[in-house]
Amino acid sequence: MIKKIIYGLLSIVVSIFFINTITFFLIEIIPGESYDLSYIRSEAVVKNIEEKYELNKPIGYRYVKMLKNTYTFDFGNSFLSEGRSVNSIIKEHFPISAKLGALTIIYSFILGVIIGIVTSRYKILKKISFIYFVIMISIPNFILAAILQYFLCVKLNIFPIIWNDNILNYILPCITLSSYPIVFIAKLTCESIEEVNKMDFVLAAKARGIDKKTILFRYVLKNSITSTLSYLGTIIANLLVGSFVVESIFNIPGLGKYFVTYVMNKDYPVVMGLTLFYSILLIVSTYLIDLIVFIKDNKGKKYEILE
Amino acid sequence: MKFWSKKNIFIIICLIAILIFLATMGNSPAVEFQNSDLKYSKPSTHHIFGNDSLGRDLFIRIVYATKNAISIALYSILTCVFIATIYGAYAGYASGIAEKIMVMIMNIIGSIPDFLIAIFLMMFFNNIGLKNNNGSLFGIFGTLVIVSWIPVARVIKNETKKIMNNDYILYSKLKGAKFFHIFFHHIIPNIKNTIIILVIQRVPSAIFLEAFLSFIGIGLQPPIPSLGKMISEGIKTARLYPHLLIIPSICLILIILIFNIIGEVLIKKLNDEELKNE
Repeated sequence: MIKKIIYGLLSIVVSIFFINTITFFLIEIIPGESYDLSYIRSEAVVKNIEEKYELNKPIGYRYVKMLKNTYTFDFGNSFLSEGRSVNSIIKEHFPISAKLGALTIIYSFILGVIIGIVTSRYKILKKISFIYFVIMISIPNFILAAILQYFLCVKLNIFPIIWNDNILNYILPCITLSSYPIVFIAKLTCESIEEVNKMDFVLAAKARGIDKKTILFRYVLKNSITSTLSYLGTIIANLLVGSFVVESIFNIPGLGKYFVTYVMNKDYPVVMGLTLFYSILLIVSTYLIDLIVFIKDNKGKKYEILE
Repeated sequence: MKFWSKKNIFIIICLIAILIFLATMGNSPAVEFQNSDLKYSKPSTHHIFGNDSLGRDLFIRIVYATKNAISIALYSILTCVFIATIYGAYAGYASGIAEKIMVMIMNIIGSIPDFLIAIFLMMFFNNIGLKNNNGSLFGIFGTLVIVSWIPVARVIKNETKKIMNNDYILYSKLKGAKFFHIFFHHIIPNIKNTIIILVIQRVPSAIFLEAFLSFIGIGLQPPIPSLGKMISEGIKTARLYPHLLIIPSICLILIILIFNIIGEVLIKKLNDEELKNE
């Protein structure tokens, strides 16, 4: 157990180091400078700018400094917006994205599990849900966002267009982001319920005369939700990519929207910092989910040994 | 009916040939023809999908955009499955430190955002100075290959590991077989169904990713028609001219839907056949 935790932490640190290095050198190789110094006539001004942003320092020095900054969680200042640090950008915009993400995960888990249970019980619904699944997978989230906004916000005026941090603002982005996770979770739940239903302990419970509802909620669902939980990492990765576009369409001041703008404007310290932030988020969450699944599996093994 | 019968293989080869013919078809000057009298005009009998903000015929642009989307997706997926098969099979074949290092390389490449790869490759290919402004085409091709080979390689690695436990592999190893002999004689025949499924499952997601990157503005660049770019331009004028948003959107959804349905049906058929064999 302790060995597993230590190994996991080490692999996190090593992979963050590699991501750091690769992103740094990719940005260095990309042609074009972040500053156009040619139109400034005075040499003193050029020198001052270069000194302030350490553009004249050798690449090795900047690389080591960047590594040091990463492990102390200090990503430096933005080029574009004077005096704003990357940390303050994250602090201001990330809570909104996190709120949206958490709402989406809860919503899609509830709906996905319900659809999964229903489709596993009735054969006719399974055929209908197959069509629904294929159609929902085929609609890209940016199209769904644009069309929902056009019909529900502009034409029918049900939801507000302007961001007001209202609960109404979260509904449409939530529906858009959860279109794919719902299908994913529903499919997994349906499959795992059918698998667990074939196991011996369900048969034993049926033989004892326990009614169907108790078997479903107490015996089957407990097992199938754990197997769905191990795919949470994939869902989170999917949400991060989706949030870039959905946030810019619905005008949500979250981190995804700003990431796209900073990438387009070549604001390298911010891009570097946000890339690292996203990768750390992804790696740590995958690691935590792995650990939870591992602990659950181990619990079962302990009992087996005792018996 | 068997899936690998002569008739079915013939049909598949014909389909692929048609698609490759489509993909290599040249560009028509009508794609760029601008008629400033017809800016934003609604669908009519002359221009069945209407005209866009520069007076270009939307129908012909959508035809070529569809061609671009399908050809980029097909070429990149075929390339990436080719790379991933060899890489994944070797990672499954080798054991110990070599395997761990190969898995770690996949994990690291997998956690770099798609954006950075796309931007970097686009800048790189634009600066080499290719003919006909094709830099962004190669850029997006490279991005699709780099992004989508990792999950494919993971699946193939796991499948190969299962095969490597068999006794016949041990026997051929004892007789002195090298990697490529085992690869062609034992691994490929066992995973050919998996490879077919992977190719078909990946095509719709590649089409989606291409449209997504073009939508954000780091995919195909303006003179080349692309559905993602059309949709992002359509959103800006959706309030007054909704047909510029809705028609390209429906086209993109239909393309992805067709590939998804083909994939689901094929997977079902292959699975049934496997169950019969067992």
